[in-house]
Amino acid sequence: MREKLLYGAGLAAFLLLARNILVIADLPGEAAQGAIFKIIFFHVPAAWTAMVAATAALTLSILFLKTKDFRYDAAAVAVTEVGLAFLAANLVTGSIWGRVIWGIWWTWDVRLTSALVCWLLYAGYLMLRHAIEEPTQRATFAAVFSIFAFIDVPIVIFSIRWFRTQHPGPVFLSSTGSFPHDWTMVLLWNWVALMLLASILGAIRLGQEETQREIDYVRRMAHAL
Amino acid sequence: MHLIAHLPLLWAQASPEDVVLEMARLQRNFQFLSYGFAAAWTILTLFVLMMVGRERKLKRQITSLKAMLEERQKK
Amino acid sequence: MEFARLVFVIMAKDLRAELRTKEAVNASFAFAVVILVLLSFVVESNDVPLPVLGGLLWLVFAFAGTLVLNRSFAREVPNDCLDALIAAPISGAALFLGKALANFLLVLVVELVALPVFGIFYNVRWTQQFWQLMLVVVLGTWGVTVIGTVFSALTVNIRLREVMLPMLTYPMLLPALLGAMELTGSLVTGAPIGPETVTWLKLLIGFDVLFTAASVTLVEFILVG
Repeated sequence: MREKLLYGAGLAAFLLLARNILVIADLPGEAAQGAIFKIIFFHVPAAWTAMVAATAALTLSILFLKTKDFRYDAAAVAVTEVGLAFLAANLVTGSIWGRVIWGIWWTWDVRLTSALVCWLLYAGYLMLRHAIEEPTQRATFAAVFSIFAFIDVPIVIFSIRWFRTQHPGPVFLSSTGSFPHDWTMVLLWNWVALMLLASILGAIRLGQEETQREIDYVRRMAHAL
Repeated sequence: MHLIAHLPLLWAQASPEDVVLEMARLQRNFQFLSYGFAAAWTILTLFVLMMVGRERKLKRQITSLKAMLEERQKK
Repeated sequence: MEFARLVFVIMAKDLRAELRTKEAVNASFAFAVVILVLLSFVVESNDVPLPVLGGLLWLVFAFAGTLVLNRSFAREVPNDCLDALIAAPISGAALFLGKALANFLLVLVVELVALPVFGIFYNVRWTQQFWQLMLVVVLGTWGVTVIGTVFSALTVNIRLREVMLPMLTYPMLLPALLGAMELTGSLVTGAPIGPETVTWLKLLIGFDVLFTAASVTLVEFILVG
């Protein structure tokens, strides 16, 4: 059942991505920036996907601390890893975009910096997990760390409003934005596609984590016998 | 016909050199756009490859575990 | 009231233990001086703008502070003192706050001794806005100690503790350090905190409040599991 669902979702994600790529290729270039502007259709949805993943990681971490149910812990690892991959994609596309428009690969403005810091924090989460052997302690400490890391995320989102930065202001869903409606729709559809992809990757990763736990359990039982 | 085709250029007071420059800029834009998408999908592919590696490790652990259990049962 | 007394008892205990040997404070101060000397080879003090020096100062504080924080929970591991503390009829929050306050005072002492050294070595007239600078130092140091104390508890039992603590702490501290660096940089030029820099002060206060609240709430999970 689960496998069939995954294959179905995979097919849907593939079709949606193919359709989006055709639509994006068909759009005209932006007036000031030309074709490179189209990278926004990946750059921004990837960032949103990573933020959704971070929020999910926070929720799952809190749930773990409340219930001590290891399924939440496994799910938290899965979404964190997927979110990290999408945040990496976001950072790299942003860097390439910046090279064309600003003439530099990287600038230490607040938003870029805090996105990178978020990446480092969640990478630290995975390294912390690697360093702890005992499962209960690992899950608890990782959950606490994940909650701490999430407190960093609002700083990413709001820094753009708090500080004058090189990164452009938000253009979607805000009153001062200048993004045309049908472009927003394309962007949202691509977000749906990326979210679908992220969910599939997360589900596979979750399955792996559960298998790993079963293996560890059987091994412990075997040694105990 | 030829003249009409050049009218927008005359109107914008642009020389043929400007057109060449603009075309180079657009070309570069396209190039970087393709770099961007290629890099993004490479990262996601790397992530998938990491998961495949993990899957293989799990399979290996399962087979070794099964072998160990069978060994135990024989004894 | 009882809570405050327990916090004070833990703080007094930690301070007494540290002042008996003074090993962490001495090492931390010596390390701060060493970094100040080393950095003088990177920056020629005559042509470096003052705001940059304010930033360097906070790097020195963060590095030297970690030496104190690293010892905070590690000191309790020999003779199973940590288990005894956890078993004692003290809430995790009181234990954490007591330790954090003791660390705060120790780091603050190191910083206040290092500050004149910094002023002499780099020819900075840091006393121009003395009280505002003290406010920034206190707020920044509290941010450093709160995060450092929690992560000191988090990493006390794991492999590679000395490596993991700075790796987890510094990215998490970045917003606070950024705010403190910007404020210190502008204060050492003689300009008081104005509308330009007040956002950084708000960031610093917000950081301290958020992370203190999060630490007090979550520290029970770290200590008890």
